[in-house]
Amino acid sequence: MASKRNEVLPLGEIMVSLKGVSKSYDSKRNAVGDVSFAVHSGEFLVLLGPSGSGKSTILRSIAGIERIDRGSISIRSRTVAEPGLHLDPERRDVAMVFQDYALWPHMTVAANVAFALKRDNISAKARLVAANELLERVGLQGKAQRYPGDLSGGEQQRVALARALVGHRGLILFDEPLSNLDADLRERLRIEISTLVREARATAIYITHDQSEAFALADRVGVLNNGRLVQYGSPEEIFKNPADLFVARFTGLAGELPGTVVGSPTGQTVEVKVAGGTFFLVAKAHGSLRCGQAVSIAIRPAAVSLDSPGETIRCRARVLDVAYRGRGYEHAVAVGEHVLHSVFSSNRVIRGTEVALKIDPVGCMAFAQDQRGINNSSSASELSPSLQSASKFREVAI
Amino acid sequence: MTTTEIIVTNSDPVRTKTRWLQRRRSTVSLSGALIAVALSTLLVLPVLIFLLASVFPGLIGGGTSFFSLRSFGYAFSASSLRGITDSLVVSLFAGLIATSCGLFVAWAITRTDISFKKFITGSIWFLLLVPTYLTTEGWQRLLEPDGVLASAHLNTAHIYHFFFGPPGVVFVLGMSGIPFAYLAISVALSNLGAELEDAARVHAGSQSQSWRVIIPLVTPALASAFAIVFAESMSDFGVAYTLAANAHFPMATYSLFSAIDSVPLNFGNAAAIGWLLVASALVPIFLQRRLTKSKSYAVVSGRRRPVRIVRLSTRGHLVVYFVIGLIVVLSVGVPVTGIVSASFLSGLGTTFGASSLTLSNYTRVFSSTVLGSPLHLSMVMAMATATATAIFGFYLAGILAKKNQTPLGRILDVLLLGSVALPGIVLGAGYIFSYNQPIFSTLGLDLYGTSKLLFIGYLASALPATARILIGPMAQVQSSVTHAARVHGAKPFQAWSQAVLPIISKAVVSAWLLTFAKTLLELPLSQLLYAPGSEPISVAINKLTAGYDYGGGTAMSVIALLVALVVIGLANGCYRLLAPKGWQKMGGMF
Repeated sequence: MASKRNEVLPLGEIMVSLKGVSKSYDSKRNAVGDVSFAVHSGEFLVLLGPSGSGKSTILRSIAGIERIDRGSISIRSRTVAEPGLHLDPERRDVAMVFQDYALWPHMTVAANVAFALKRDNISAKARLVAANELLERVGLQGKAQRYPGDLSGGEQQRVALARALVGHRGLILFDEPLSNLDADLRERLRIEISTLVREARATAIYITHDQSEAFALADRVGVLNNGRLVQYGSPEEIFKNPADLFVARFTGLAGELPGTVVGSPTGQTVEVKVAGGTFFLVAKAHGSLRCGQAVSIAIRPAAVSLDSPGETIRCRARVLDVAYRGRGYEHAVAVGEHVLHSVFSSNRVIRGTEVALKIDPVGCMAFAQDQRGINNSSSASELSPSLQSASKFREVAI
Repeated sequence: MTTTEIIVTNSDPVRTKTRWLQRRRSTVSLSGALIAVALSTLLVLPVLIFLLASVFPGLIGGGTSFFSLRSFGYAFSASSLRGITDSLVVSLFAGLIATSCGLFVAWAITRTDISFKKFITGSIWFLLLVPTYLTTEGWQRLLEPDGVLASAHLNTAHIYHFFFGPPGVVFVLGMSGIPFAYLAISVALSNLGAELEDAARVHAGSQSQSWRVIIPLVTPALASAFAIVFAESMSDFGVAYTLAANAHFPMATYSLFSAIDSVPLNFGNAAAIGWLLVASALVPIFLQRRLTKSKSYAVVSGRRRPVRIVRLSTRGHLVVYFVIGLIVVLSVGVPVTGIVSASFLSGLGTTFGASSLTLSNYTRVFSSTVLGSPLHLSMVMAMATATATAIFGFYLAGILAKKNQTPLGRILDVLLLGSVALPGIVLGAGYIFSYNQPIFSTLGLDLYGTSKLLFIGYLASALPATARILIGPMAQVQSSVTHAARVHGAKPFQAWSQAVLPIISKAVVSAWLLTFAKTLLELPLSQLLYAPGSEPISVAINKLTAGYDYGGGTAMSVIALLVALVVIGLANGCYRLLAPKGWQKMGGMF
């Protein structure tokens, strides 16, 4: 069945736009504050943010489940929400996959999927045929007459996916659809979602708090923090050029080291003396940094290793913990008072060993420290007593 | 940050329509609020006015002074206070008996491998349908000096003398309270997953120590069970009007009834007793809420494991069967046997005593229009009340089940909780007092002395409990169920009727049936509010009994109980035949 909506709206045209959208639940704090972005037809947008960042509120506002306080939302160039205007969900012509699947337990699997076609005024038989076709595509052939309660979590999520896809609405909203599934199933379903949505040439807005899921699925990523859109761009842009320390942290860091700028070798990079240490790091400068300024160096996991080749900077560290990851070992190491996680090595280094750490400047980013200092980096003193004692034991032994 | 500027066109074709839709939505919520307020006003306000009359006798004319505490002086006088203390003592013992029996039955049903579980739970539900005055009637007809057993030449005088007094009152109320206690406790025991027992066993060191950990977890359920039975016993009128009154053992509800049933009518005194009754019923409910709110006893989580079923030994089985059998026989078996056997005897209650087996009692009930019309009236009233209660209860439960409650929802919550503790006799007295005021005639609401007022009374009595019962199933329906329907094209009514109603349909049907059965045989409101010449069946039964026509009274009781059972059977049968298979997979009460 061809997508009526996609025929009307060619690929690349704006499917959804938000302009200055704000929403608060208790008038004390904005759940969403002044958010603007546009999603083009056929694009897969992932909104990434921690709990309470406002991503669910944005998605539900696009669906029409929540009413916005300020700004406007347009779908297919039609304003669907602004102050004094709220188009009901059923009139927005969208489909949605819910976090808890939201399958109707009294309907069979086929009836759940076919329900989404009722608004198209087609016969019950045609609805059922279309539903069965979709169920076959998501690998649920033979389960059409079962009830949701008879299915596993993964199968239920496939039914929810089939329900969202069957109507060819052109715009599909995903509300953390994989968060209730185990890791293996999550990966398999992520691939299925990516494939099926792109095959259907649908536009998708997908929310998650998992950065790896976001980067794997997205054409564009919007990072949210405290109800504000702090960065919007391609996964590569966001990973390589995080807008601030929050985005850097949320998109994956081995850790942070505090220091002071001592020079600027290239203009785009700065040389930093790491506090409490006797070594220097070169890092990409984010924002305008001057000599003598206190900074925080955010280090990507790939930039730090115990035995990686290339242009590296060595510093002394002590191994606190080691975890086997199949392809090798990930270590937690203490650099002075600070801890770096996910430090890779193909060999196991036992706890308490003094090691030379190699840090690649390509994966180091320097951000001006705010007045509160580094609030998210973990220090050795914050570790559990057992790890601290392991560290001390080694010190005595050495 | 990358943002794309969007030019929003103002010539949106749907704008006008959606603004209209938004206005309509506001109207809907406004009308909802109005319905809720109107219901509260119609049902609750008259009772509040009545209760206020105890301290403001001049509030609505009639009284000599605007403010007076004289009525409370009467309520605390020796004769009136006796009723309150009798009720308190009796309710305390009834609460303990019902909670103990309910705990045992709930444990046996939810935690052991005994057989006949359906029969036992069926008996519990049946017991819930039988009003206390019928239980009393059954025992009395069986045990009294000229009763059924006496006509079989069995001497039961000593048992009768024991039964005919406070022990009998405690016994009947205790037995009648078992279903409430069972329901409260069995839910808690079912939710106490095996992981909690495992954790206690692993860390406690011994079986007895692990029980010390487990038992406090069901404390809230035990407190709930006791509070409910205590409140039900305090507000019971069936035993107070029959067994207790005949045994000259005054109870509070009967004292209140006497104040407005004998000349001179004294609503002030009745209202003062009403306050004490309401307070007595509210205290345990308040204490129970404090107990459950002061600590978290939450044991239900997504990772809950099934409960562990204890495999009893043969001896254990025998003990459990004996105790449960005894409970079923005493609470259901004996009263039903008493009523049924008495209904087939002629001459029971006369000075000649029972003479022979006969069907004449049933013939009279069916043939006599005087006796036939009460059954018809009560059936119509019960069906109308059950239907209205199910509709409004569903609506109110929808408001109350919302996570983010509006001020209206919070007010309704308090009103409904208070109304649950409101004894039927207080409700009836309040209606007589308030709806007899001239202002209602001026407003064109001439309800006093009509069956309409009785219907409103039934509705007011049934609605709070039904709404609270339906809150559970409603709260379990995730909001995403409705949202999913709306997002995928369903209009509000379609979303409600196709996504929500089927899920809770069984609970609604159960609520309808429960209300029907309870209303069919309801006594206190019927006794106070029935229209002259239009007696409900409970009034007719008690009139026959008071006139020593025990055969007619018991025959009518049997027919009424059969009608209730047939309607329940038919409704369940129809639901199983007609409701889609998916609807039947959803939970319900029966």
